Amino acid sequence: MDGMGMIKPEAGAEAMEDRRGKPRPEGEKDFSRLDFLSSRVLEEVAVIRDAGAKLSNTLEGTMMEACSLSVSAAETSDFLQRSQEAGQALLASTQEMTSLTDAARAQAADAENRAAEGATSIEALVSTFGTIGEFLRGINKISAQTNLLSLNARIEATRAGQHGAGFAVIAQEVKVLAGEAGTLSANIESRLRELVAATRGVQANFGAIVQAVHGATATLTDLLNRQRSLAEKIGDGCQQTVDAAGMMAGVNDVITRMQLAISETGEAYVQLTRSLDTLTVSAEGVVRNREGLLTATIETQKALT
Amino acid sequence: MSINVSVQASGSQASVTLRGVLDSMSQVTLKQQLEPVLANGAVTQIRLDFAGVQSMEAASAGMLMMLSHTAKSKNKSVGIVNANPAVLSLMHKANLGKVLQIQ
Repeated sequence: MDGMGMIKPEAGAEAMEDRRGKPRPEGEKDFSRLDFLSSRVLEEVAVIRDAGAKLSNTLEGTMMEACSLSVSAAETSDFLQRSQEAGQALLASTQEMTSLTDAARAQAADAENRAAEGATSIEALVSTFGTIGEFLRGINKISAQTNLLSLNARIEATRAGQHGAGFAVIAQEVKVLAGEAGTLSANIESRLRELVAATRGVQANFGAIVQAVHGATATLTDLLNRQRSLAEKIGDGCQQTVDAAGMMAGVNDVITRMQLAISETGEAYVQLTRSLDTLTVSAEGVVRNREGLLTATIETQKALT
Repeated sequence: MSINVSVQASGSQASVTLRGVLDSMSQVTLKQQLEPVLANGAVTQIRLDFAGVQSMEAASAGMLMMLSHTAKSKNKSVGIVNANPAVLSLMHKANLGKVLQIQ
């Protein structure tokens, strides 16, 4: 444009066509050139409108995709939230089970110790039974000797004749008592043998119990270690779920920003459309008022010369 | 499945009642039915009644978003009412509530 607002034609032979391949006016008067340029402006406006319509369709398609993505992301977040809650519940249960297993293991270990102590006590009891058996054998021996003594006493009483009659009666009573003592002692010894046999059976059972409880303790310890390992893995899984939920929240933010950007682009498109409307009106106004414009230009030029 | 759209304009408010499923096929029908409403300069409020909408695709939320922007550029507001819980949930997941009023 020159200083008066007039549009000058392109200089040089190489400028026969514009960037869209349209022929450039050459040697035409300003009047025709103004017509031509107004027409070109309207053509360009139409091209921009077509491009804008495509842009609008693309924006709507992109917005639809963004909404689908947003829903998928939100549902994934919900899923992660539920997974996290389930994982935490599982972790709590596993930790509770671990705690119970640990208590059971401690009780089993205590039972093992007590069973071992019981076995030791039974061994001591059996030993005591042996001592009692020795005492009973001693009593039996005393009883036999007492019986022999009473026999000798009766013999001596017989020799003493009438004077030994009372003593013979006492010797007979001693013999009876010694016999009863021997019988009772034999009975006790018999029962003691039975008791020893039964106690040996209990001792054997105690040994089996100790072995079983020891095995249970070892199993519980192994179970405890596995549960602890499982709890650790569940904890790691929960943490990964939390991390994934955080990443999904980031994705949601990005989608929201994307939707905002699409909205803003849509608003810019609306403004562009309005500007094109204004430009169209202006270009059409220029065509309608070209004669007056040219007259005014000529008059201005005359006035300036 | 298609969607039935009926429009009642009264003064500045247009009430649009939808029945059926809002998906990529049926949203074309909705857009066509809304064109005269958007062109009506007297209308400043567009109320979309979703009571009869059984379900909708997530992508249709995008169409509603763009519809809201188009309406806004023409000095009109768009609101959604009576959506069932499933549709309402989907709308919120699609961030539609950030762009237009959902009741």
